[in-house]
Amino acid sequence: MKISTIAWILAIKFADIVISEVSNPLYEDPIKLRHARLRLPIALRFIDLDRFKIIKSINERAYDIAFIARLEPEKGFPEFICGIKLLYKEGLRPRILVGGSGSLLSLAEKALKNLDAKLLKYIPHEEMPNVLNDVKILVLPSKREGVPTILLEALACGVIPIASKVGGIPWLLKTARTGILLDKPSCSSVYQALESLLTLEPQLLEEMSRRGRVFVEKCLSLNSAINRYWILKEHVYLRI
Amino acid sequence: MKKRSISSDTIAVFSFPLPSPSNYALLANLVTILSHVYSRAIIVTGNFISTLPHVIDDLRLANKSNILIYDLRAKLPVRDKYVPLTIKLLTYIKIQLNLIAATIKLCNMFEIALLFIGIPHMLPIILLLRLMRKRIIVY
Repeated sequence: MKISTIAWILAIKFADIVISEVSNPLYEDPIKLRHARLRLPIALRFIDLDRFKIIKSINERAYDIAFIARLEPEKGFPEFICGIKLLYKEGLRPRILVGGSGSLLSLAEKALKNLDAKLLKYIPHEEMPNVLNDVKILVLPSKREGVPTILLEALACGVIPIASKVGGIPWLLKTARTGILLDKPSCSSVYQALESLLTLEPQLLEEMSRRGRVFVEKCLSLNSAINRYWILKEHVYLRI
Repeated sequence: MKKRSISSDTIAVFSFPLPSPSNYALLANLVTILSHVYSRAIIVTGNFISTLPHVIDDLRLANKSNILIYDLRAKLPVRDKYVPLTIKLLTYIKIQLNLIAATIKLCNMFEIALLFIGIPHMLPIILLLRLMRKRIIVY
């Protein structure tokens, strides 16, 4: 067992309360489940719903597919590029947006050269709502994640996510009833998921897009986050 | 009805300094929520601390008068740059000592401690907080 795992177990054991973003224990970190004295699934963050909202209908957006994350192997960037290349090989010509920087930047520049693609090395956070409102599908084939903020912001803007089955993502997409989960973040799974969404009826895309927004409005407003943390506060006072 | 002191309505959020400013957006999100739930939220962290008030500003929705930021005055080496092991080790020790010093200095101001980022690295202060009989929440 790694030292960091032992330290993590001890930290959980010494804590009075462990809070988590994931409400369903099925998707919870097993260490938290096993060692926590009290686990409260209240820690889901909030999204600024006035800023992150649907400005453009999904079928009017400029980019079909986007990858917005650090350009690193653990974020699944090589698998994303490979999946896109397969789409082009099969005759599909989606417009691509890549946002981010990292150790794979030169790979990105080289790979996107001959595609209908735009690369933004840095997206200021205040620009993110506009950027997301120009995107139909967001791909996040990460190897490891918690509950990624970009995914929550994308759902708020009505973007349809394709993401790997890691961390809190399966819980998120199943609860939101939108997007596609990748069993494995591989080239072929990225390709298949993208192909199925790109060939979907515009009406069905619109419906998926709206479902994501409804979930965010229900669960990720500041008020709902404050209410959840009030529950935590009451639990703490019971223990003082 | 039992009256609660200001320290029992104060939450201290401990976060290990991290080499990426993106983690501080998460921290700012959490602190924004806490600023509406507690009379005071103290953030104890380092590294990109200069960007934190800006990030909270960016979130717009925080109750800023309830937020207090304590700078650990310790920076982690930049991720992509080569740094000798001895420097890394000394920085790590400095962060641990500063975290302990901050906990001792602030201990009368809070009853509840929330450990946020880099929790396995904060085991020494978790033990200290236990000895001080503080309520510990792990994220």
